[in-house]
Amino acid sequence: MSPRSYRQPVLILLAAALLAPLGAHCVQAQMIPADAVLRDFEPLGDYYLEVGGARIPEVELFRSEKAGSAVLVFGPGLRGVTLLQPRAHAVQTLSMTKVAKRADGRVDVLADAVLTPAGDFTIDGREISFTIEGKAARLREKPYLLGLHPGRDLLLHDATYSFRAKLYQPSPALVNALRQATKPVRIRVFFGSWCPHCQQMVPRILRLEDALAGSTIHFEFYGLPTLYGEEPEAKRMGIDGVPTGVVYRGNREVGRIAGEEWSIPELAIKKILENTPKSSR
Amino acid sequence: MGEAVAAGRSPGATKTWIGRAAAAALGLVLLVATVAKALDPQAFAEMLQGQGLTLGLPPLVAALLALALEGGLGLLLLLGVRRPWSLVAATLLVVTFVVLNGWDWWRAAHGAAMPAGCGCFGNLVQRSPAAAFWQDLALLLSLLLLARVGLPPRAASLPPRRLAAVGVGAAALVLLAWRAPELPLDDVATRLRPGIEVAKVCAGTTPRVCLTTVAPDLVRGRTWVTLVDLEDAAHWADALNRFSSQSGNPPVLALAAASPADVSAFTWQWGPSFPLHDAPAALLRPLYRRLPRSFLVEDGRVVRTLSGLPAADASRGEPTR
Repeated sequence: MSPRSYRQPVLILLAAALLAPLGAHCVQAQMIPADAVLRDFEPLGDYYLEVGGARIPEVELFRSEKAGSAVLVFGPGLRGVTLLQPRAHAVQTLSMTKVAKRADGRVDVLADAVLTPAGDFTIDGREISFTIEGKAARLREKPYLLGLHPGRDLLLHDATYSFRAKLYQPSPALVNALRQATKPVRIRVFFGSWCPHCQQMVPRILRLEDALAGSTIHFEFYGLPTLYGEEPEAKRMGIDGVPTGVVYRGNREVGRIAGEEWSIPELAIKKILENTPKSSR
Repeated sequence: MGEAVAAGRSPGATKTWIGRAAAAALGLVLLVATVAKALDPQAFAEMLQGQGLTLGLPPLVAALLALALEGGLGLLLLLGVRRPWSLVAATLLVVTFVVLNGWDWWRAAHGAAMPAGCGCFGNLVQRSPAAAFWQDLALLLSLLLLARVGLPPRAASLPPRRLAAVGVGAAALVLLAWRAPELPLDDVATRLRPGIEVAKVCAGTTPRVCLTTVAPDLVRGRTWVTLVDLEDAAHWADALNRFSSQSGNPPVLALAAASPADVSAFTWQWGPSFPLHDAPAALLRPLYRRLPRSFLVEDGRVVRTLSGLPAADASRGEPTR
């Protein structure tokens, strides 16, 4: 064998040696079960992290009700994982290798994770203050998303929207029926990024928007403040609850969707389009 | 039940019969409305307070007095004490109801929050502000007008036995209202009882908000729903956390009439093991007399109700890590 023919197996062995610890971790992560309590963390989208006064946008936040509304903080720029446990007002840290992400977007802490005490946290209004890697850190609520936005802005603003959108499956039959619409339809959804009902319902609309991509039905989202009764656009449109969808065929308003009707948005839209006089179709 | 006519021209028998029947019907309506409100005096007190009708009295005292007045008037008319003064009192009461309903309707039509009050018929009748206004106007006003038909020009002395019965009845209504919160009458006194569909438990018209709006997942599977007061969390939060953490229990959902800021503060303070959603007071208030109150939902239908938390003894399964 020529020296050249030896080089390839050597390189493969070298690569294997370098990747072995990572592979071992993956195998280990797969074999070690999730902790019985610290599991089922879901994306927490209405807070962001500030460390030393600077926002760290890439950091991911997760909350688990099973774990007593504990919050996990990790991501680029942080060495380890920080765990905030509300009942004890305790802050703990653990290794990043002891956190496993699931395909559905949830996160578990592995059963053998070692939790190291790292002080406590204080609640100051809607801000949570603690120490992370020796620096003052704060979880702050995000400012509300206001004004006109495409759906993708909502997905970027709050990770909860994309997580919950994936959980909703619109009716294929209704989606197909809506795809038959030939005249352009525009649905402006007035919502509040602060509003819990919107956090339940808007992900369904975003999922439906995705399912209707390429059709003549288009969505736009208008974020309102908490006191939306005084917001000029809400006042002009007579919006008395969020989320409210104003359905336009062409430039003419043909119906509204509100409250309970959002449970199955594709059904609500279909009903409005069916009830529209033929002259406006 | 007839009046002894001492002087003046006696009205025809038919007119007298119509007047008596209408007065009795009006009395019955007032009595039913009084009993409905007496089953949940706290809700009635909150309604009076919200409408500024407590006349400076503690709300519960004002509520008990109002119940005695309305119930007493209802009994008077039902027992045939049909005098100008009793009909004037009934007129004032009916006008008050109609004006209050009209005010609620006007406010709802001009963007005010949905009224959380229980209305004239307590929680037994679920009506929109517009429906309440028109129904009361049509029913009570017509009965009131008919009750004046065949009124003798001058009546004899008051019937002492019937007046005594009215006094006893009014006192009994006050006693009922006083003790009602202790009686196991939640399913009777509220809109929440086994068998109802949660999708049909709604409030408001535009927009219409239902239990399935604030908790869409209730239409599938089994869930314990607990109505709570966040200000009183020290009395229930730990126990509900223990219950929701126990393996084998259905999932728990808590509902509170609270602001997003209150929900956030509660979450960081108490670390709930269950989701907590806020819901309009107008939706939740007719569902309980005292908090917490719980109900088990199976595939969108209420199958069980409880006063308090889902389980009194929930001592295992606390997350300890």
